[in-house]
Amino acid sequence: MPVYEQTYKHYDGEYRPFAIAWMVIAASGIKRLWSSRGIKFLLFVSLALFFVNIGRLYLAANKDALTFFGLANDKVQEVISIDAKFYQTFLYWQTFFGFLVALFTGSSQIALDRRRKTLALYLSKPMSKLDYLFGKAAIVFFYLSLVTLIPALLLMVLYAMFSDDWMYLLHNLPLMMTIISYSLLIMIPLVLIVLALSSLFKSTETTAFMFCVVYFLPNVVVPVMKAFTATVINSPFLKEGWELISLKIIWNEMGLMLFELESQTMLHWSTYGLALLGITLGSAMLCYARIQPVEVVR
Amino acid sequence: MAILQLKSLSKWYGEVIGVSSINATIGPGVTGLLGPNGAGKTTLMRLVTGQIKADTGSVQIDDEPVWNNPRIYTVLGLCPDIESFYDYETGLQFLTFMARLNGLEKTKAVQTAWEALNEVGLTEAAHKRAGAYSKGMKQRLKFAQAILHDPQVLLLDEPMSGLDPLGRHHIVELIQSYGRQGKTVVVSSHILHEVEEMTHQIMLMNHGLLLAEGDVHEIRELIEEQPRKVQIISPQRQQLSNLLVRCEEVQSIAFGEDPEELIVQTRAPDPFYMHLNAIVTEKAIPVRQIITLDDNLQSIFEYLVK
Amino acid sequence: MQTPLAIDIQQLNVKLGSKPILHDLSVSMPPGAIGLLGPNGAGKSTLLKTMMGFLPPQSGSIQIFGMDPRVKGAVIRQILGYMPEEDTYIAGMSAVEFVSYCGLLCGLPPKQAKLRAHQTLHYCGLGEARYRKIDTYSTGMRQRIKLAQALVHDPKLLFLDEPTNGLDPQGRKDMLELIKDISHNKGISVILSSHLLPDVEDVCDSVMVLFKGRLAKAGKIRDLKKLAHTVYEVGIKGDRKPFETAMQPYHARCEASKKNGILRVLFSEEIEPMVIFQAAQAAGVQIRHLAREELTLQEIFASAIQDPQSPVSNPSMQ
Repeated sequence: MPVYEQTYKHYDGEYRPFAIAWMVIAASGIKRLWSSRGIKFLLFVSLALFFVNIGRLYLAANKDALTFFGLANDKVQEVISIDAKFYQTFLYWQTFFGFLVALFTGSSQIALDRRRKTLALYLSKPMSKLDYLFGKAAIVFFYLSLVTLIPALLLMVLYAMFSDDWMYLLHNLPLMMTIISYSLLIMIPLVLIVLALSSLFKSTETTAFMFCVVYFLPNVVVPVMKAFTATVINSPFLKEGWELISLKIIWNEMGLMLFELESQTMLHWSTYGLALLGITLGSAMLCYARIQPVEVVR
Repeated sequence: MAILQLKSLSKWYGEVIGVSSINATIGPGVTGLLGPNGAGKTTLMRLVTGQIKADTGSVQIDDEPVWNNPRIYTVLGLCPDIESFYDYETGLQFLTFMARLNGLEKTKAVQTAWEALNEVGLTEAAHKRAGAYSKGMKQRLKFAQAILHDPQVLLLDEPMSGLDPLGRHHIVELIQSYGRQGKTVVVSSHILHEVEEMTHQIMLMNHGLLLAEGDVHEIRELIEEQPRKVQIISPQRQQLSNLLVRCEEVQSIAFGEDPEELIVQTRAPDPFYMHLNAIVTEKAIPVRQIITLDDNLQSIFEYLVK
Repeated sequence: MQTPLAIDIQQLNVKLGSKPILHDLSVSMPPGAIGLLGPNGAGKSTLLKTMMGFLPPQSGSIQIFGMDPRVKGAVIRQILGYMPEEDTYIAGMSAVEFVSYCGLLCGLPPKQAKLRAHQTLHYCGLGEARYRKIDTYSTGMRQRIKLAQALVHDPKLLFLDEPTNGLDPQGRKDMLELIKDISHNKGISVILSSHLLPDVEDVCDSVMVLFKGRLAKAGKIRDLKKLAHTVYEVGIKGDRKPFETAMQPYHARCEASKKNGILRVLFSEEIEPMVIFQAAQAAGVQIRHLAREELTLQEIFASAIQDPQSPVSNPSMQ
């Protein structure tokens, strides 16, 4: 009959591989955000368009319903027809909500860790800077996918369901791939930009403000600078080049290219692609450089 | 020479009592103000410096009241526990400004500021922004500000916190020298070793009450319910304990962790030490060390603060 | 070499940016409680960060339990617990959540992480408060939770950076007791970096003093404290004069020490302290205090950093 001492005990079990550290960060971050009321409200609002589109899918798949509403003419048929344009438009509109979700979930991620000096604590555990960054990115990525990738794919599934044609999914595999790639093109830059800003500033508010600047300012700057450039130099390329600082325009053009739709722009799609790649890589490098276990000494 | 007098001093914060009817007279020299976190030390410091008004009682320096008496600040210096300067000012600018507030004209103020910087060993950082100072440097700057106008009464709230061993030693020596100069210095600190190094005069507070005031050893004498604990190191502790156990003033004997260690408790130190000496010499029992374990600040603190 | 060294550093040079911080540092320490001392800017935190694998050394070798942080940074950080100086925690988390999260990050399986979080918090004296949000914790409790998060994954080595900052005397004593228990009874080596020399003296077996990026002194505290000559500190109750007269036949010189009421008795040769008792008996005074004079850690520290040019007698302790 032993007497047990209530004291420190050694651990003799197994440790999990180092590679899971990022998943621990991601899981904990996702769980903690989920418990806030703000995110649920934001997600609900962000999915408004999704719910509206469900109705549209239903009508498109059920001609009877259209007849019931007395709308069964060709014009309406054309408007509500479900094609590549439908998905591209949906995802393009969702970029704005993606921005809001990234703003809400990403602004505080690294900023708070740097301000509260938790970063040093994280990095003192068996993980690398990349593990940390990966974990933080996964949190934002998860919530972003809830308003872009997941609803877009769901729309496809719902259409197949409403029209009782499950072969629709199989026949449209390339479309599904396009939706996935386009969503990634939206999500990855958003995640990295918000994390880069979050690593630059120690306050959530500053990060959020700067993220808004990055997102909205081009809306004003691009038309103004285009007009201004046009008065100075007669070079269409330089004039249109201003579009490359606007995420919205880039996403639109990339979407049109991916979904093989017609574009009005003078620049080749690869220019936009390169701009997006530049922004993404730049943000990634900035994050990586800013996450330092060693504070610069005074 | 300045005498600090506290007369039935009390201060409440709503229902919470900060300081509870304290009577004390603090004369020249260094006095250590001790107590656990939340004991009321900082409140007492603020009352003494006239920053807050007492609910009952009064504080007087040489029979002059402290509260609502601007003249008192010429004899009073305070090193507060919080940072009290602007981040964008350099150390020199801040001190010069403070010296000007004390009524010195420009050149004299600058000179005084340099002297204070020199005293705390901060001359090299004189032109650096205070915002860029390390914790220890900020601490020194606060200290410099307190001694700027050469006050007769100095109140220092945790003046050594954040300093490295060199800085601590330097400030301890400064405080000791002020004490020797006949200034009235009150230092609060959690590091009892350092307080012991500076002074034997202490004030011990807990829950807003003054628990003890005076010389450390005298206070120990007064704590009668606790027998003296004496540690004896002897290669022949078995024989020694056999002999000691017969002395009636010995209350208990215990073997310590060390194979030569003996811990004896006694309420009557005088006969005990006489007996011990006699036993050692008559029976030729080698003793290498005798130490009183609880005649120090740490033990007094533990005995009184419950 | 029977047991692997906790730290084995040879000719280490480390730069921070372009600024050299550690110069030709060589020191080795067996497992146990090790004090890391030095004034601000001596390179203590740079050394800790190099050991954790955050800073690549320019040259030289460094081994933590036989592993090189350049190659096995993550493995070292798994057997290591780090208690930072700053007040760090994740806002909004309860103590149990936070500590088990730290356990998960160190690779504990989820159930074990939760179990050990509870155990460790109990051990660190936060059992009652473990469901409370850390935001509501007092300074003393925050120090304890920082210790708990460093211990939860059962490390072999603990880095403690100023663990007693802001604690009151009782809190400080409790924290030091915990550190003593960890390092002496639980077989976990501790590197204690502190500005409070009494803390290091109380807890540590050995000590290393850094100064300006170089090793100024290293060794077992017990050895460093020893003086070459024979001096006893004697506390007398009674008249000093007859005692001093009685000491004369033993070629002893008595002088007042800095400590209140303590006499320094200097002998010209090694001698048994029995003669002091005999003199006291003859003089009819009581000996209330008797101890061989030793250097204090404060004095060791001061001499180490005053003369950094002096060659280090024995940097290796094996």
